[in-house]
Amino acid sequence: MCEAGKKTPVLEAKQVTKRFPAAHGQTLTACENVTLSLYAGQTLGIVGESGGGKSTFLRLLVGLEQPDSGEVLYQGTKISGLKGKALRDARRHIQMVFQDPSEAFHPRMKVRDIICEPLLNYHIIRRQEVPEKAVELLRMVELPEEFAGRYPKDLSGGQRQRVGIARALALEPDVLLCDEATSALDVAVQKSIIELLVRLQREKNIAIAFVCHDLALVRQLSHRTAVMYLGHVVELMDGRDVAARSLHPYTRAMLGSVFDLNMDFTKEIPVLKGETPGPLHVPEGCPFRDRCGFVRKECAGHMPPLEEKEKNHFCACFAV
Amino acid sequence: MTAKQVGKRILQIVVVLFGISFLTFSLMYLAPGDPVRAMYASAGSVPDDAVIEQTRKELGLDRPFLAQYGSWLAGVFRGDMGTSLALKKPVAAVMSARLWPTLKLALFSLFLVVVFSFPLGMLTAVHHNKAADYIVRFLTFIGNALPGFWVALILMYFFALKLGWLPVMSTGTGFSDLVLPSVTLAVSMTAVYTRQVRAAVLEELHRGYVWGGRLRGLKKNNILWRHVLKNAMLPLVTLLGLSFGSLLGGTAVVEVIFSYPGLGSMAVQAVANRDYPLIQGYVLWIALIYMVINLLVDISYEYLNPGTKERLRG
Repeated sequence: MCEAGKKTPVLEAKQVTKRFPAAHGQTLTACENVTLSLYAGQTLGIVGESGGGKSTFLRLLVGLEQPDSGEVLYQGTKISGLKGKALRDARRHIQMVFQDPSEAFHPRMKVRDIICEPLLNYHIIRRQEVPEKAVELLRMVELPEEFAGRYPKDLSGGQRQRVGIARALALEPDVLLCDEATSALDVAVQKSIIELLVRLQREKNIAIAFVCHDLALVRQLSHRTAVMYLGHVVELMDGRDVAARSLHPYTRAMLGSVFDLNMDFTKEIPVLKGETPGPLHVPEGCPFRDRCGFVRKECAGHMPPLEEKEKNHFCACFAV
Repeated sequence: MTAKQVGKRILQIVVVLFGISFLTFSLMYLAPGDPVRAMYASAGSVPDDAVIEQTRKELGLDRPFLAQYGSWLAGVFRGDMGTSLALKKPVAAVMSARLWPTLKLALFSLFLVVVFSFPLGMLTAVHHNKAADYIVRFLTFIGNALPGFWVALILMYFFALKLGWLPVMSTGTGFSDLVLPSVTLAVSMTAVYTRQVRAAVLEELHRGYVWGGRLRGLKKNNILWRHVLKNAMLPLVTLLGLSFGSLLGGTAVVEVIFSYPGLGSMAVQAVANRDYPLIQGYVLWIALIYMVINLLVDISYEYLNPGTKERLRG
């Protein structure tokens, strides 16, 4: 990620803000001034608690939601604000893998039809070519050929998620967005799915955004990691730095909740005090200040800017 | 549904029909008014008491209640539903002549309801909280609030009297005689269904498969008409079946206003004439049709939603 500055990102969000109207005239801020980039062959991990705006951010990237301000660029061209055919064409290059593989498929479609559906939708292959293409895609995700004729309900969770990946990659996209793609799977299966994603990324030079709330998992596969808190990116750093060199109090607090075999179990586990204020009642200034142990006077005044504290390591905190 | 379940339901229908026939028979027995006097009154004569007594004996109306019910029931099993007191014709023949016009009326109304409410409901759901949504919702509000007899008179005034396109009074049961009564029946139902369709489609639009499909490059209209509509239809099919049943039984007012020769106007006349056998036959028929439609709806539901079938099979 060191040369990242020189390369053009495949997909880029520039100062994207998205608010939703909520009941009683309140607004829900899902994303606030988010600027993140995805590069070919690299993975951006996005971590944070529930309600942090991670999923909304992915939806903004694929154009399911339109940003209130800011823009989304694909290969340097603005794709936010597109409609109809133009949006549909742009989407071809950005595909998604979903959280729950038991909900993501039409229960009465066979695996071969599921994974080839995007190709038929975009008229890339003809219906006669489905069986052949399906086998090729199944092989890509390391599933046996005979799965082509099965229904999703006949597969295990991990196998289904492989089908989900095959479907997402059928269109040969440049960008793959994984919305908690492993959180519905057990740990051993998680590992094999991650390995598959890493291999496919290497082979196809795909940019991956991997949304997850498991810091340890994100650390394993991401080149860069963004930490989101109530719609704000509070820290952005190289993937392997997450454990050793994270700076933001929120990231450090989250790391405290990651369990490790070698950890000292006699020590009390530090727990984040207080509830997330919730995206409806985001306090003025830094959204984390109510729960932060390093809170200062200026934290109440305004949101600290995301600044480069170390090389390629950005953090939005006055106390750092 | 298995054959056994269907058989069970048919048995239920028979039991309910027994109950209904007994109930209507006893209600009519207890109701004030004398069928024999009414019969002569409708023929324009005022006979003396001896003649009335004589006729009553001939018709078997002097016998005890249970004996009357028993012989009527025995007749029904023989396929004889009795003879209309006022019309002097077999009840079965009178009704079968009136059944088809009412069926036509109900079917055409239902057709109008579906043809208008589904596209309108989809439109309002897709343009949720936009101008089109507000306009259509306002119209459905009004449509639902209009009483049927008033709509009938307004339609009659404009399309029959002012424009002369359609007959004021039905002279038969042809298409031109059918239009105004059907539209009258369809107005408020279309309003209700537009809202139902809107709610059902709106709920479906928020499901993951909708935006999942769009991500995979399915066209918006394709998702809307092939997937969303199909899923939204499920709860509506039951409702439509019930509505068809209530249409068959609820055409009376409209039939009388347009003097349309259907079951409804027949029933109103029968009540006015205290024509017990005819009323009895009518009630029985409507109950039967209503329950058979319900059964058919339940069976069709399963074909539309394979999920219920799987759940039943466990």
